[in-house]
Amino acid sequence: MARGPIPDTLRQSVQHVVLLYDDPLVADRDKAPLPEFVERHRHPLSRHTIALLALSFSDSTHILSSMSHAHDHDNDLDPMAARVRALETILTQKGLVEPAAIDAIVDTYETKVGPRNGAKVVARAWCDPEYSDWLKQDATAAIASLGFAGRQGEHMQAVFNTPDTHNLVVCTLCSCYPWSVLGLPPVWYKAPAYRSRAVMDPRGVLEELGVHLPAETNIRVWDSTAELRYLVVPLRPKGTEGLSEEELAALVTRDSMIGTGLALESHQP
Amino acid sequence: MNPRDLLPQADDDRVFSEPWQAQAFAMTLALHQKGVFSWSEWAESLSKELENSGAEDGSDYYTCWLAALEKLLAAKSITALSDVDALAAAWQRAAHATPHGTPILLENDPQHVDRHNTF
Repeated sequence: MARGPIPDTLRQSVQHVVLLYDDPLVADRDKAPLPEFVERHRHPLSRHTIALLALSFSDSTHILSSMSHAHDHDNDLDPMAARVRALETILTQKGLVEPAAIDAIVDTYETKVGPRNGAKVVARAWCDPEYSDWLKQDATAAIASLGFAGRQGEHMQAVFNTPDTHNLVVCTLCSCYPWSVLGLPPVWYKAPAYRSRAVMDPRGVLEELGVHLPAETNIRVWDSTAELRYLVVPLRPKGTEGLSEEELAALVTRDSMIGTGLALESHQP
Repeated sequence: MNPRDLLPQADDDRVFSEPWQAQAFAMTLALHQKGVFSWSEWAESLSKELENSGAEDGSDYYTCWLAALEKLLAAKSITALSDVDALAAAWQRAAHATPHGTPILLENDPQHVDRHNTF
């Protein structure tokens, strides 16, 4: 372990993680978010590593003293967390929400739904022309048949990429997103930068994201609404004729179903 | 130009950056399932908040989300914004008054009065 001056961002990270580990409000420490600056600077460190680093730094006494100091502190609720608790308290008293139901929804969206659902839909469409037709005509029913039904009563439309046309999905108003097949949207999908630029300059956005399309390929942008959400069916990569549906699904990335990426190339010989 | 300047955190897969965001999200779904509001009403409320959003990188998305939820519930006469303000302050006082390592209870608020069924 190299010893020397600790970069400030890393020092902050270590202190934050140490405090995080000590916070009774954080029920599941492995799921708890890392501080934003750790994410932003992308220290290739797990929180476990950071905690170990805290102990191995030559001037770790400072960090360790802040660690034990934390035990003497009272709890602190940040304003947003307090507002959510307040709202939950009121709504629970009114019988409109149940804390257990809230936890179940969080758990579902964190662990059970996600882009793997959408990938199964795409792989099935690649393998089964009848399913593909169904998906084209009635995506809501075709997707529900695989067990992925939306909870907001929204309709789904599948938009198929072709060699001539590439589809890109955005929600310019808020960030409607096909949760049932893609899970929750990534941070950038909700950013005004993406929401406005995807419409004004889709080719530029795709280029920046590393998707280089031939100049003659049309780009069609689909603006989601609360009632209608889109799933992009990317082009099936070449050389994947021998792959099983499951193997194909592994090539379907979340971004390829938003249209900000392509399906992965097969690594099959 | 670095694409990240324009599409910040494009490689960031996190959907919630803090637990309260997940809870605000889940409460909204639960209330919709209870029929408290339609999804279109919700989308309209959220859109309004996001239009006034200041953060180009979307980092205040769930702040807008919570504000949209509070306003929609206020418009439906379910919760008054002032009640949420007051109770949020009570939760913060309760947190401060709770020794570290023990669960935070609303009863720990030094100014606590039994609020049951007062909203």
